[in-house]
Amino acid sequence: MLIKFSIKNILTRRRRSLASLAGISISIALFISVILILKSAQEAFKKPLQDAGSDMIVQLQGEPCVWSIVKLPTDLNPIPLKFIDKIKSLDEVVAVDGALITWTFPLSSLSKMQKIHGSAEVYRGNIPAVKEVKNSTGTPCETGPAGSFCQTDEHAPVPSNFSPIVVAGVSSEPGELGPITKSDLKNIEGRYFTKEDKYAVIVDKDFARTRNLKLEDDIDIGPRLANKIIGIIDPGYDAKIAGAQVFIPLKVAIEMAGRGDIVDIIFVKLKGGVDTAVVKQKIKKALENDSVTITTSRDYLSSVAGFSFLAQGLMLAIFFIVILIVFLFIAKTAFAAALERSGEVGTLKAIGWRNKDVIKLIIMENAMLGFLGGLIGSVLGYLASFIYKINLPLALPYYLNPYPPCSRYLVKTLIVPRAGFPINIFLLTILLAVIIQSLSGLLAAIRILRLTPVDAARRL
Amino acid sequence: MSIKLENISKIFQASHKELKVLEDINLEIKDGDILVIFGKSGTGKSTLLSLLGGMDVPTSGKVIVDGVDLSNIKPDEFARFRKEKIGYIFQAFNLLDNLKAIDNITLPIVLDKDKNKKVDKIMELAAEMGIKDRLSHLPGELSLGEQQRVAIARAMINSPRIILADEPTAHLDNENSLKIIEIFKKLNREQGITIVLATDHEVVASSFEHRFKLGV
Repeated sequence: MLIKFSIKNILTRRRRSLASLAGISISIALFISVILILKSAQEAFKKPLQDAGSDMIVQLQGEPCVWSIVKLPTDLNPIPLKFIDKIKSLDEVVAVDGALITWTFPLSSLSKMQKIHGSAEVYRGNIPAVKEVKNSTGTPCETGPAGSFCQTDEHAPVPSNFSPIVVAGVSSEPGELGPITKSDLKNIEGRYFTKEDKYAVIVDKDFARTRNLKLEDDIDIGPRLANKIIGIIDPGYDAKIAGAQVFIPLKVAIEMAGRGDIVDIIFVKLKGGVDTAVVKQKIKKALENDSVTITTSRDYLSSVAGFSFLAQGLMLAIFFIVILIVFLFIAKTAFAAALERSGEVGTLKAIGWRNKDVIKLIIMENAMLGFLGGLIGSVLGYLASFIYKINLPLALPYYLNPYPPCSRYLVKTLIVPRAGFPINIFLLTILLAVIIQSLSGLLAAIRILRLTPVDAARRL
Repeated sequence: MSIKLENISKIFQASHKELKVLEDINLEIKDGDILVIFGKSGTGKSTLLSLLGGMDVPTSGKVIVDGVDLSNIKPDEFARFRKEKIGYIFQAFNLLDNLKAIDNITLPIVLDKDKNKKVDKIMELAAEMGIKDRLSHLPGELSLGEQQRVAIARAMINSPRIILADEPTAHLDNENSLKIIEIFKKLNREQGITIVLATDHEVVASSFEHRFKLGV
């Protein structure tokens, strides 16, 4: 009976109901959009690590390596392969794998450089610097065939097609960790490496398209001109940790780099629930190197797009202020709307309604409005966050995805937060809207019911 | 159903000042009586009426209905008393403007499980009040006379033994006023309902035999 009467009241008091609904919906939309944007940014930060099957990335950052035909990316230093076993031996670690990312100059383009500069002798290994360039502070910059390889200047002309290819040496067998995991193989055309493969490569789909490469074609990387394409992999939508344009077996990459058994990125999978801070210390101790960089999703949140810990704290504070404002607004609107009904309540009491009947009516109506407003607000908030999020790409830190800054090929260095549809958050928000709306109605009803029926009825 | 007022006073607090509206009122209304509380505006007619119906509480004194002191009954019993024994008609009718006339009439019984059993009663009341063809209209679509009759029908829906009407003709023209007075007389005559009216219209007051005058 009461439900029927409540629905009738909501439907017939259209202006009041719409005003309440608008208030709740806008508040909930604001709340949901803030939550979803924060949550999706958080998820987006985790995604590259999840894609690589890892909880931690171990790297050594330091002085730039000298220029050579096969060069480690700027700022990345080699890590001896034996350290993988040391990390593997830690109790908290489930799995470890390493990769070797390199910037590799195509032999053909170096031949052109040779023609321009005359003296450069091309062979596997180092190329002598043509000239040394100093920056404005007098510190020597990286030197190479053209000084700074991506900026042409009048002293060191660079052929337009001169650009290194990002080549990653990966395990010969697909595993759970690394730039290409087992789950990525569903996106591969052709096949993955076998242990027998040597001069076989897998190329990035976008890279292949840009260069018009197909399966079985040969590609010129580093010192070797003929490398057979056995697979073309679609890396997906987002930037990947150690994403590369060309993948080769790790042993071949090590041989090409010519710096011994090394990797420059280590992927670590941890047991569930372990304290990452403790593991970090153990890894540093195991590697006997304090300058080792260990990255978790939380760490690069602080280094991406100016997200300092202070900013994170500020965002958290803003989040709580938004929650407070939203729910105070809902409470105030519901309270005021219920108070406006003093005359109606007085009349109902005068004709024999009990206090509990009046309370039930107001709570029921408020709960229904809270539910509807929560539902509409959730959908609006979802749409708002969706629109906002697709315009909020987050850059993966450079050291996790070290592409040459002047790369002429399509480079995926951005993570685009997706608009998730977290049903649990929606349900919880709707429930909160119902509870707050009902409680506010209850408080207002209690206040009205303190009046005598005739006093309340006079306010109609 | 008899009503007895013993030494009733009512003082309102207005802006830190006491406003004595009723002072030491003694009154007895016998079962089946029809009484007019008559007086100028501001003499406390509506206040007295609301005290009779348990809509307000006196500052001092007792309201005794059928031997029961209203100050001694619990809130739920008070609500039942108002629902079953009293039919209260507000001066401004107090119809809920979002509900149709029929819904306003059934408002006192809308939560009752057996409300459907009262369909005949509703139609009978509507016919009696001459509003049968106006039941599906909102209050705003009715004339003041029709609104008043809807308010009377609402007051009658639970067949109360007492009807309290506050200035029932205040908003009506002479023709409608006479109709309303006739309705009350008929209810008293045919059903033996105790009726108490508050009015400042001398013509209305003079239509009834028993009058209680408030103020000088």
